[in-house]
Amino acid sequence: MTDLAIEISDISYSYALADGGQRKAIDHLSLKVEKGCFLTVIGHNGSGKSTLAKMLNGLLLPDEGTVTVMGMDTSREEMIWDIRRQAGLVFQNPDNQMVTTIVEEDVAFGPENLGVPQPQIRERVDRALRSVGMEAYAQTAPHMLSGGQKQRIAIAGILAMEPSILILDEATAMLDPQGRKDILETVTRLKEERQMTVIWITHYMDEAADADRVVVMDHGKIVMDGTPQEIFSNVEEMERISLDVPMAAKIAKKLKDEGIEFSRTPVKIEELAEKICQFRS
Amino acid sequence: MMNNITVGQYLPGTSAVHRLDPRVKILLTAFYIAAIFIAKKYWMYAVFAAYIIAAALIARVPLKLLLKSIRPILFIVVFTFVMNLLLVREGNLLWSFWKIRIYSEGIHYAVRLALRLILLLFGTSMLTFTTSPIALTDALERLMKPLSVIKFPAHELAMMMTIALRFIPTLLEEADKIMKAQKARGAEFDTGNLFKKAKAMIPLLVPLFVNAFRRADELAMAMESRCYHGGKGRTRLRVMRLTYVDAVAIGINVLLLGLLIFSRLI
Repeated sequence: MTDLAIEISDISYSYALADGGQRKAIDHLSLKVEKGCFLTVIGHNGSGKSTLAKMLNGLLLPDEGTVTVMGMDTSREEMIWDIRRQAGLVFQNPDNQMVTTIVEEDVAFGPENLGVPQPQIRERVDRALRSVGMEAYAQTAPHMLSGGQKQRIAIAGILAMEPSILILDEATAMLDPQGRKDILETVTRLKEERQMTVIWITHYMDEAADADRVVVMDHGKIVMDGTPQEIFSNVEEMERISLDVPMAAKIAKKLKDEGIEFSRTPVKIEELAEKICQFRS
Repeated sequence: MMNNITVGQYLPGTSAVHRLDPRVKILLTAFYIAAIFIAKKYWMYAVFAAYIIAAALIARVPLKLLLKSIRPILFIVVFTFVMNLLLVREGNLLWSFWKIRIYSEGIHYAVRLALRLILLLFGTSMLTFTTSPIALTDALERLMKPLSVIKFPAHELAMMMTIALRFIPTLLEEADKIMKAQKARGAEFDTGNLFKKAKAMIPLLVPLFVNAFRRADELAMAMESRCYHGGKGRTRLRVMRLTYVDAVAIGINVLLLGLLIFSRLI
C-alpha cells in the first residue's frame, strides 16, 4: 500500500458541445494527494474543478490518463462501488442530493445500497448524525431544514458509508455565511476525528486558510500548488488569474511594499492582527 | 406558508393503530374494502362503522376529520343514491308520481351503496391518516416483492414514489418563488378567463420544468455517488416486524370475517 489517497496522472477531459465541438475541461492534469491531507482546490467557475471532483469517484472517466483512488483505478468497472464507498462526494445543492422524506432514512441510503446489515445501518446512521450534530433532527423532513442543516445531512449521508476520502464540491456555495462557517468547522473536525482525507473544492479564498495544502486551478490545469501561506503570498500571480486573495494576505502585501515584512504570510485576520501587535512592541 | 405542507393527510402519532405494521394495515384495508362490498345486512354495516370509529378513537383521529373525508365523493354518493332510487324496478311499488316510481328494493340498493361508499372512504382515510406516505411506499414495495418473479418492477416503482414524495414540497416552494418573481415583473396569474389563466401559467411552468430536469440530473449523480445500483442486494434501515398489536388487529379482523360469513348465511 502506498500512502497516497488519490493519484491522478496526466488526465484530460473534454465536454461535447451542442454545436458538435468540444470544450476542454481538464487539460493534462496530474496530482497526488497524501492520506490524511486537507486539500483545498480553488478556481473560477469553469476552471474544471467540478469536473475534477466527478473524476475522483468515477462519475466521469478521463479521456486520457488515469485516476487512482485508494489504489483502485476508476476505469475498472468492477471496482466502481468500492471506489465510491471510499471516496464520498458531497454536491453543491443540498436539495438535489436527498432521496427520501425523512432525515435518518436519507442518511441510511448509502449503507442500504452497500447492503450493510440492518443493525449496523442503525449504528452508522446514529453515529453519522451525531458527527454532524444533527441527531435531534433524525425524524424531520428535509424541506423543513435550513440550507446549512441540509448540507450537514448530506455530509452525514456520505459519512454513513464510512469513506476514507471526503470530497466536497462547492458544498458551501449556496449557503449563508453562518452555514458556510458551520460546514467548514464540521468538516475540519471530522477530518481529525476520523483521520479522513478531505478534498475541499471552493471559489471562496478565505476557506482555504486552514488547509494543509492548496491547489489553484485555471483552464483545466493546476497553476499553483502549495501551503496557504505560499499561495497567498503570491498576490501578483493570484491577481493575474483574477482570483482574490484573503484580506489579511492583501494587507500583508501592502505592508511589505511599504517595507514592513513578516516572516510568514498571514492568511487570517486574527493572525495579521497578532503580527501587527508584535511588530509594534 | 410552504413550510408546513404535508404530503397526503398523515396525522403523526404513536397510538396502537399508528404502530401497526404498514403491510398489515394495507392488507387489512384491502380485506375491509372487500368485506363492505360483500356485506348485505344493515347491522353488518353498523359493525364496520363501529370498527372504523373505534380505530379512529384509538388513533385519536378527530371524527370530524373522518366525516370531512367523504367530501370529495359526496356528489358521487348522492348521484348513485338517486339513480338507484329511480331506476331499480324490483320489490313492491311504494310510491308513484308521474313517471317516477319508487320500489322497496330501490331504497335498499340506494342506501346500501351509499353506506358502502361512505365506509370505503372512512377505511382508506384511516389508512392514510395513520400511516406516513413513506411507510406506505415501503410497505407496498415489500408486499409487491414476490411479483418480481414476473419482472414486476416493485423496487423501481417504490423508489419513484419516494422521490416524488421527497420533491413535492421542494417543487412547490420553487413554484411559489417563480410565481412571486413573475408577479414582481407584472405577470398576472389570477385574472381573466380560464384560457387566459392557463396561458399565464406558461412562464411559471417552463422554468419549473427546466429546473426539475436539472434537479433530476443532479439527483441521479448524487444517488450514484452513494452507490445506488437498483434494488439488488439492498438492505433497509427500517425493520418491519409483526408485533403483538398486529396479532390483535388480525384477530379482530378474523372475528369480522366470521360475522360477515354468518351474516351472509342467515
